[in-house]
Amino acid sequence: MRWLCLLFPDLALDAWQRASPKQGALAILDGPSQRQVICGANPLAQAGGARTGMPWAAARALLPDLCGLERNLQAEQQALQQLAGWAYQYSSRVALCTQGLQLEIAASHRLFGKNLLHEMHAELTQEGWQVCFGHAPTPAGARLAARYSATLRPGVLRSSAYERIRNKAPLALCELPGHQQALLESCGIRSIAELQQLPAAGLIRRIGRDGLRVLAQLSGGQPEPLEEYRPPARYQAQLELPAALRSSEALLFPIKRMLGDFTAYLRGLDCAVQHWQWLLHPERGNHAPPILELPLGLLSASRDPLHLLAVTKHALERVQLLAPIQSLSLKAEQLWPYQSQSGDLFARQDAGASWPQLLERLRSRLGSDAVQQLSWQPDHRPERSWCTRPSTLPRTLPATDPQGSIPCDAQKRPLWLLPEPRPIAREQLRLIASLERIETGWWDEHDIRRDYYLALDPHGMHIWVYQELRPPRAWFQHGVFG
Amino acid sequence: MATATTAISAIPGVWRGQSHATQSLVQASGHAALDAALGQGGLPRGAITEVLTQYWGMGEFDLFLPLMRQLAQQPAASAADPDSQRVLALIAPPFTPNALALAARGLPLSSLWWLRPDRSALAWWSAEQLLRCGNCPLLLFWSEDGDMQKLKRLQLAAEHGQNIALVFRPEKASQQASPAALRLRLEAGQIEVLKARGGLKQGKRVPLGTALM
Repeated sequence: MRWLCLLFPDLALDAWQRASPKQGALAILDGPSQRQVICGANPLAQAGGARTGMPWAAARALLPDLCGLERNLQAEQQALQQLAGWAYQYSSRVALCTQGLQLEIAASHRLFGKNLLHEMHAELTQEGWQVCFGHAPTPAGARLAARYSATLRPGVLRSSAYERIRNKAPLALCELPGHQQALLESCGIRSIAELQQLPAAGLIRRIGRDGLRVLAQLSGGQPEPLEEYRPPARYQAQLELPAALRSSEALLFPIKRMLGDFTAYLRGLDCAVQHWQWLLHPERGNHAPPILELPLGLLSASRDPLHLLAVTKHALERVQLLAPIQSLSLKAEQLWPYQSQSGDLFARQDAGASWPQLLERLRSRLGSDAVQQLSWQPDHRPERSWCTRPSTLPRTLPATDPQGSIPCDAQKRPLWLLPEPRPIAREQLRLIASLERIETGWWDEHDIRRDYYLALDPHGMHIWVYQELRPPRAWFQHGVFG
Repeated sequence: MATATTAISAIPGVWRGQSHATQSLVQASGHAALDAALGQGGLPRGAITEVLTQYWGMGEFDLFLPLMRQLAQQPAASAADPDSQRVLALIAPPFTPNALALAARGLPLSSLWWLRPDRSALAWWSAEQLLRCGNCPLLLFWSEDGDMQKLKRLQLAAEHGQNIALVFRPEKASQQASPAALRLRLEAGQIEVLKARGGLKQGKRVPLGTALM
């Protein structure tokens, strides 16, 4: 067993900051509203003098344009859940801990090789998270090592092994309550290794059974029960934006972040998505109803973030944002097992998009009602003789032509129909030929009784007209030959 | 004179208009008289063909129905594979295509796609995308507007996809320059060739013999 702990020392800051591409001086505030204290500051704010623990008023005095955002514990917890979903692709045993995750990596290490940590670090950095690693034979040891890593210089891959740091890790890093740490320090104990050398009987009198259990779990003498992460069957995520966004173009950045999380979660589950939904909220939190719901679908399930982003982007281009957006959520009710597509070794480089891909793009950009296929029905009434095919065709089932015999007089009908028959004056028409009489539909209340003619209109066009047999025997244009 | 012509032809990189025109790929339109008038035996592939009419519905759809029928036949082997499906696209047609009449006249509806973009820019975008896709041998595009630049983009896309692009435009566009390889004017009862690549067949008129209906 080898446990890895991923600690996110700036979780509160990152959870806010990653939703926005621009990096002004930013501080995260915690505590009661009368006396708010900074609990995280980005490098720009730190360069200006803002420090963790500093009162908000004092920091504002130093940096007038410092932006302060209230800490969002719910979003942090949700972010940890998201990260657990991401980590699930590396290990089947993932658990949440304070400000971090722990996962069992003995088997993962064999599978992913020595670069596992580098790979995880690169992915997390790209997604906007700062992370410290610690690994140990026990979960508690991994947490301790990760906390030790957090004290190292930031900016590089920070990772510690429990065995190496055991002798130098200060007592303050272990999970004993503060008053017990103070007590032990007053006895002259400085490091965790020193503490572990003390006889258990004496120690139990000073720090109690609970304290001793903490130490035993650290060294592996006692197992630690962990509540392991189970990925939810439905996906739902929310991202609150530090500043309201008005343009759909600006929304693409947070959307890209969310899709990054989503596809990482899908990879962990070895699933893909076909239908999902965006909800755009005008206010933070869940109280306000969304001003825009954007249900999206693909022709076949996918988990390629660029593909999902392109579809979202095209759909966003079609809509108008009525109010600035403060919060985004993404929902996917149903996930499908992932089926990878086998690539072609000699794939043509310049082959453009394949038809299913293009169809998807056309649908998302024009709207699925604007891209359709036609079909006919055995009905003599012209307006009921055609229909469009359902717009969500499964990928595996190409359209087939309807079977059955076409009414024999259909050859005499024009290639174009008007959307609605249009009244036309008899004087404008020169009738050329009488074509057919249609008298049908008495059974479903769309009874028609018409005489159809081929006629020339004043522009010299061949049109299809009819006269109602019922009084007042009005004339209508119904189609165009051509 | 003859020696001068041979001497000029001997220079590499010099080509004769006529031979160039016959070299490009053509597709028979299904109307013998029209094919003969075009000189090359059909409509150019990998290029746009402009068809100018005074009104929509002057017979342009009817004229190209044999061509559509010919190109719509799905290759039998790939019937189940969506990647190699044949796509004939109607972009922004002025009226509703009458599915029953099309089927009655032998057009397989399974390869016909009807696109109704709500903006002109989207229509041009869709046309270009379809031409770039290898599955679309024939595109019929009705457009009220259009300029040199947009047409040029379509022309390049058609060259890329080696497909036939029929662009239907109002007659007044005949005054504008166009990169189309072939320009036809459709009038009541006849077709006039306004421009053909190779420059030999201009001004030729073909009676529109196809009986309407």
